[in-house]
Amino acid sequence: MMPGDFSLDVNDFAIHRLVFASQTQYQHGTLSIEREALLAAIAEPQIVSNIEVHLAHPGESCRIVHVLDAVESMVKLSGRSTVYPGHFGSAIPAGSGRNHRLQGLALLVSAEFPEPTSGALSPHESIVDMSGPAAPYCAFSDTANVVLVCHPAPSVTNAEFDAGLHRVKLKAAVYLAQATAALAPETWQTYALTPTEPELPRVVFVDQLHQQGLMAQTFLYGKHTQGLEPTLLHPNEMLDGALVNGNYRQPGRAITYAHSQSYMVRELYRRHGVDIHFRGVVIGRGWQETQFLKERQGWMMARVARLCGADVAIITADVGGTGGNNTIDFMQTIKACEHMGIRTVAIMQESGNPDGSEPTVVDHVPEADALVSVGGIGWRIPAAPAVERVIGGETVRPNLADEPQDASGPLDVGCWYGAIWKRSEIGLSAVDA
Amino acid sequence: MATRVGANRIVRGGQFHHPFGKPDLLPDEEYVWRCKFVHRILDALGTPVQQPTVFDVELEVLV
Amino acid sequence: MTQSLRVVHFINAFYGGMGGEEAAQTPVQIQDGVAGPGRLLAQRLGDQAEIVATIICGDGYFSAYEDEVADWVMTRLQALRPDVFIAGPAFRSGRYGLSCGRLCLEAERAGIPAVTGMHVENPGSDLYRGEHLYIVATEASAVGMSQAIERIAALALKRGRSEAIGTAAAEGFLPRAVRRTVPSGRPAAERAVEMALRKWRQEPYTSEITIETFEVIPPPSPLPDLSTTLCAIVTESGLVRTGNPDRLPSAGATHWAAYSIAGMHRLVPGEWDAVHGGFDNTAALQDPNRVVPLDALRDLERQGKIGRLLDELFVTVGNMGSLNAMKRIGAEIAAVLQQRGVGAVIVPAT
Repeated sequence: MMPGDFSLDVNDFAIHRLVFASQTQYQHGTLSIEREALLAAIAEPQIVSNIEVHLAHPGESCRIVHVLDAVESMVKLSGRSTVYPGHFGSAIPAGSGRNHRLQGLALLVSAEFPEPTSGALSPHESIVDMSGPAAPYCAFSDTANVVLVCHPAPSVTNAEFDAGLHRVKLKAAVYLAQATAALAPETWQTYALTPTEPELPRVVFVDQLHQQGLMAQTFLYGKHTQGLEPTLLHPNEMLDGALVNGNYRQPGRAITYAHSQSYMVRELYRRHGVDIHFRGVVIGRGWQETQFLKERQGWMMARVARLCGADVAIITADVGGTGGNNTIDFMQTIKACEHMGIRTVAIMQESGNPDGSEPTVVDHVPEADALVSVGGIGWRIPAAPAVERVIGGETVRPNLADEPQDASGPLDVGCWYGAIWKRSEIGLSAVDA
Repeated sequence: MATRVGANRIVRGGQFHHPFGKPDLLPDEEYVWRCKFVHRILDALGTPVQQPTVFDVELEVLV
Repeated sequence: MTQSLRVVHFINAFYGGMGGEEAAQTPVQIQDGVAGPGRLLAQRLGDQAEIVATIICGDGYFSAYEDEVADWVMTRLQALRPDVFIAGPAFRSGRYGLSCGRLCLEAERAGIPAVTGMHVENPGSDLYRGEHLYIVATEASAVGMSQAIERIAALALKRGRSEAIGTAAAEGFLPRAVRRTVPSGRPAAERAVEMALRKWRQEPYTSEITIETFEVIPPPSPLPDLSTTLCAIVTESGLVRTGNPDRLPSAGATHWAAYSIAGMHRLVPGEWDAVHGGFDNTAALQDPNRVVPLDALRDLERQGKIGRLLDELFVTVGNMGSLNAMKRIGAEIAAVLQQRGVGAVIVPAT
């Protein structure tokens, strides 16, 4: 291994079952968790007064509410930096070495913020059902979930609590994966951008991150992306968790797990050397504040893509979602890439009402002529029945303006967690009808 | 705006509240300018174009 | 056996066998049974549906009395209570497309399922697709009559029976501003890379979302001889006769007006109002020629640089106009100008 290289071995340990036990250990697909040891490893006593640990499996009559984020459980056993770089000491470039990963497990954080919030920067209700008609359309209904329900310590501000939650979830993710440190992996894969045939098109994945402020932000190497100018990431840095989610605004969208398990990174890696040359990932932040800055954002993304030699750019925003004035930044990026000689395809959701009869794209440029749809967000996910067990709270408020309703009862809502990311995976689209 | 909508021959004139006017000029001068403008319109109608094209009116300062 | 559906069919005077342009002024009328392409339509419908009446109207008459004709037709439809209303197909004929679209819209609003057919470039298609009408895609001319009738009939039967309608692609109708979320069978990432490769290789691909933006209008060739050309002035500046007799609104206009400029050498201040709510009208009121340069254009006329100015000025208000309304207004005015033999249009725009 050479210094400065970006070759990453990921060793996977499949998780089928989670249990509490007297010792944390992994054996034959079962992860036993010693509750007290976990809590000791992740404690943030000044910020988080009480952490409940719950387990949920696919197929159970179980609902998880107030979900803020989900994280992959992994640990870097050798090589430069750490997983989730910038959150465990110095922000050293990640993307190399050897990781152990618990495949099929998700670490969920559920919490309510101590101070009232209002307007655009408020957390929205986000719900996971482990079974039932809504489960196929929400993320993490198919993973074995360790759920941390966190309660704020007295007098803690929202900003302090948020920072504490990030530390808690990432420490937990690493702690669990460490149970496999001494074990030989079941399966493994090496991720590296090896040389390819020169005639293959050079493809970049261009990702527009959500950044508006507290409750609606993304972290890169431990720092929020408020002032981020577009930059290049090696896909391994994505796999290593360089992007951590702090966006709780839109239940459908951004998730830390969806960055490190990015469907676009996985697909481009799969095809690297086959019919494409995966050049890298260009990231920038959306939700720029003025028209000038939105247009500028487009050009700044395009110039980075061009400078790293891209022939083709595949563009997403908020893990496949666009909406509101963020769509403008998105469209400007498409336009700018095309004008810089880069052929673009963009993946986006469509807005509009449940029967699809309202305009579904709020902003558009003529250059956006190759679009992949993940369907209309207004499309109603099937209603869910009552459940036997709820993790994270007793009531839910699907919309901020609504009265709270019983979390365990039947739900006909639009706030299923990770819905847009899930649609990308399961292949929902939309057609003219 | 006009190019975005797809108008093919666009002659750019005065400000939007008086496209054919130059209120700063004396009325006679303004009339002469307006005549120049409409002549430019004739030019545009007689010119082959492939896509939305803007024709400007040259403003000559009258002594 | 399901009951036979009742259908009312609308066609124009030309397809009703009443003649060419001279028959365009035929007033709206109704007759029992089928006429014109209704015969082929009846064949396709078989015993599943019966065309109980055919409504016929000349394109010119419809254009001049649109609201009255629409009311007249709706009264008849309310009395007949058909299960489906079918209009056209209009192919590429603009006025016919507009009339089919208007009547289908009225029928839908009265709870009567409607189906029509026209070519994608028919101005009526552009305008009425946004209203979610079912418009079967047809060829540009009656060469495509057979296929058009077949698709119209199939769709009409489904609509009449309230059966589930397939996608636009499957059923053969134009996108009607309704999107349906459906499984595609493949993850988005895969579809994106496939599409990207096709685009990069310059192979044909189909975008999953096609935005209805402003259509590209191929520029007409330059006029060879303006000195023989009839020119018209069409403006969105909201310049109206004093008192705004046609009640053009200051924003969100849905209609237009025509004012005589016969014999006028210039627009006289005091005889004209400016009602456009999007700009300061002071300069225009002081001298309306600043907005509609009639004085300078008359000059061109006198010099023989243009053939003649049409004796009417066409006016609407472009302030915050909906795209669909402006498309309709443009289509209607264009239809009139075409009728009058106008070769060039000057559009003062604010």
